[in-house]
Amino acid sequence: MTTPLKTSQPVHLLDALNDPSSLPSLSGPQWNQLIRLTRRTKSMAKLAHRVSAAGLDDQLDPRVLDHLLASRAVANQHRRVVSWEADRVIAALGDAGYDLIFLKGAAYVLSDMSAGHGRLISDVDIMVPKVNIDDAELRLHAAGWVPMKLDAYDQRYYRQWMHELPPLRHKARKGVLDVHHTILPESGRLRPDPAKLFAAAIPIPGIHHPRVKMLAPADMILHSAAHLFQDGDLAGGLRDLLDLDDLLRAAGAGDDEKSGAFWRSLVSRGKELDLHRPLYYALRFTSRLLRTPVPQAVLDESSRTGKPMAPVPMIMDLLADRAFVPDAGQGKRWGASLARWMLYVRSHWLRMPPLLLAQHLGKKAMRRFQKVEDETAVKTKEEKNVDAKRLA
Amino acid sequence: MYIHELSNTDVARLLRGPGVRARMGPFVFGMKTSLSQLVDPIHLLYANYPLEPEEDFIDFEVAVSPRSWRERWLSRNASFIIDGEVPSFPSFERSLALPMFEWAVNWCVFTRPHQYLILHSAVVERNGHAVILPGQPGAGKSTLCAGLSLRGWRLLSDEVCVMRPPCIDLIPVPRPIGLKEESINVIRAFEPGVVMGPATPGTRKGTVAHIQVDAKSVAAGQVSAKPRLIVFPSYRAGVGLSLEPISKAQTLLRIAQDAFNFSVLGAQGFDNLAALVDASDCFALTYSSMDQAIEKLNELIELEPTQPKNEMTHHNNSGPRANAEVMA
Repeated sequence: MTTPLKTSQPVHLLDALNDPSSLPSLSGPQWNQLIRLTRRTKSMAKLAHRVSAAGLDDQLDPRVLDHLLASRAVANQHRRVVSWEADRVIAALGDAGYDLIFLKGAAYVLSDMSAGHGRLISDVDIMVPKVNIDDAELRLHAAGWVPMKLDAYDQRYYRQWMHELPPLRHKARKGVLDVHHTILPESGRLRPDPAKLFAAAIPIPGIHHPRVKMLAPADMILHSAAHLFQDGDLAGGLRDLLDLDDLLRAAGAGDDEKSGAFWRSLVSRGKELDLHRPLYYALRFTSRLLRTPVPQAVLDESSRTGKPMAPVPMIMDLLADRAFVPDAGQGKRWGASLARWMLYVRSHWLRMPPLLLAQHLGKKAMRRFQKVEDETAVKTKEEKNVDAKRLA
Repeated sequence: MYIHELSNTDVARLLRGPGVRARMGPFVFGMKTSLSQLVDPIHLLYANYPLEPEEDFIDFEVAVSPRSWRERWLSRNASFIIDGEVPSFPSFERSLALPMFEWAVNWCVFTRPHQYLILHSAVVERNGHAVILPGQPGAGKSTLCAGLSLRGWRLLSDEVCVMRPPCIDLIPVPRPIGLKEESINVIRAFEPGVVMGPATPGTRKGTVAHIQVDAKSVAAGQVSAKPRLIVFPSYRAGVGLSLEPISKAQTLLRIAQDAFNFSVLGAQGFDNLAALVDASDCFALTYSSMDQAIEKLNELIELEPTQPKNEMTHHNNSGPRANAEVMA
């Protein structure tokens, strides 16, 4: 987006995120498209952050800027809430005598990394050693976190097959807390050794507590990649891809020894943790879609270790392009929902043995058919205010 | 070009196509529908708004339409489609389309523009001074607000009190006033010349009807007003008028309880609400006669403030920047 766009030309979300410098020349209809696209992909706050970091606030139409300011207010609220929840988790578990690792959004916010700016965060994720997870559950329970209402099947699904406790919710504050003991489901094909993650974990800048940590930079990227390409179905895809972009840029920036060492060790660390395949996808799609500056040597090395056999890479390229970037116009881009569905099935395929998968998807489909209410939805006081004002 | 200058056919064509674009205070809405039953009511209720140009940025696009062949041909229902997406609300019978359309427009104001602090109350203004009328549903805030606006007060909103922190000037979002049940007849009797859309029975709140926004309130849609009074109205049949002062602390808590985005704005929201309450005299008004209630408010709004305005309010007069420094 180095040349100004014609007013009728469709606007590209990824170009806008990569380089906001030409945004001031967008026309009204182009902004209509872009604001909607960012809403749909939950990336407006990130765009807002990048616009302000580029010093462009004053150059935008004030009415357009207002939408960005509104999304910044929400992102700030999320930061505030997550920081306080984390503070309470540290109060409950910090002195338990084992490591407490903050994962994903909470870690980005607590350490004030760029990935945490303009990011919406719904839950706090933590990891404790598997041998201590029962103790952690008890301590958290005493501090007010209780399991969310789940039916017996869901309870069993989490405890038996997943890598976490069923989600907890604080009685008073309603914040959701996910307690993990590793970063991928134990039933899955890839099994990164959590002991290696704990061993490499580092202190969180600004939090002065010896047992409170976050993953090392390379591990943080591998976790994010595993989550996006192995665990999830790319539904919140663009947000996670933007995380990876920010994380890679932060760890790999500059020509100093530190960033050199990071790039040299990233692929081998991926192999060591059994995560070279998701790392391959992460490097491929961030550099391809978000122009993340990954050295060519690292891309080549990750292709050698992590690239699947033909024709899988080609199919993944097709699926991912459609799943990450929705169409700018009213209509849906061809195949976007099909692509998302295929990725959903794929993510489960990677997570469970085939028979278990068939059973699980069967159960889920039955339940959707029976229209079981989503009991996990939490409404804030203000959402209830809105509900109360409904007319019909 | 005002919407009342358009022919019915033009309005229908716009609603089906690019949308009828109207500026309601700070927001430009694009209104769309494929339901022909909505053409007349929208034409009537929004008659006094100028039509905004097509090439402009619009803040929110609100459509009420069937969203699938099933809704179009089988269930004969309709859904909201806001900015091209269907929020997670159930679809509804088409007979409810008008109140649902109005609610969908309000929903955008309730849930999105967090650059503002948004409280749940009606706001009207006279001679530059505004009265904020908060109140639980059923307390009669919309009825009193309608009465005042039919007696020369300017309507800022019957649903939202909007401020841009750190400033406490009240920002109008003029929209049709929604009345329900007996209020509809009360207002028709109070002002036989009132322009009202069709009444829709069978909503969750009973029968609902909307009052056309007057030209004066639409025209002043970009002009903010200074807060002067916060009055909690409460209609009670057969009682005489009474006006009781309420403490500022209690007022603040009651308003915060009912706000739309108080927690999104955090400390900034609290400071702004505190500054608003500081700058206003606060009362509970119980009445059974609308004329008496309006007379009382006409009287109150002309009085000097009952207590000296404090620092913060004083600084407000010198604009947002001065106020920001006080807040900081």
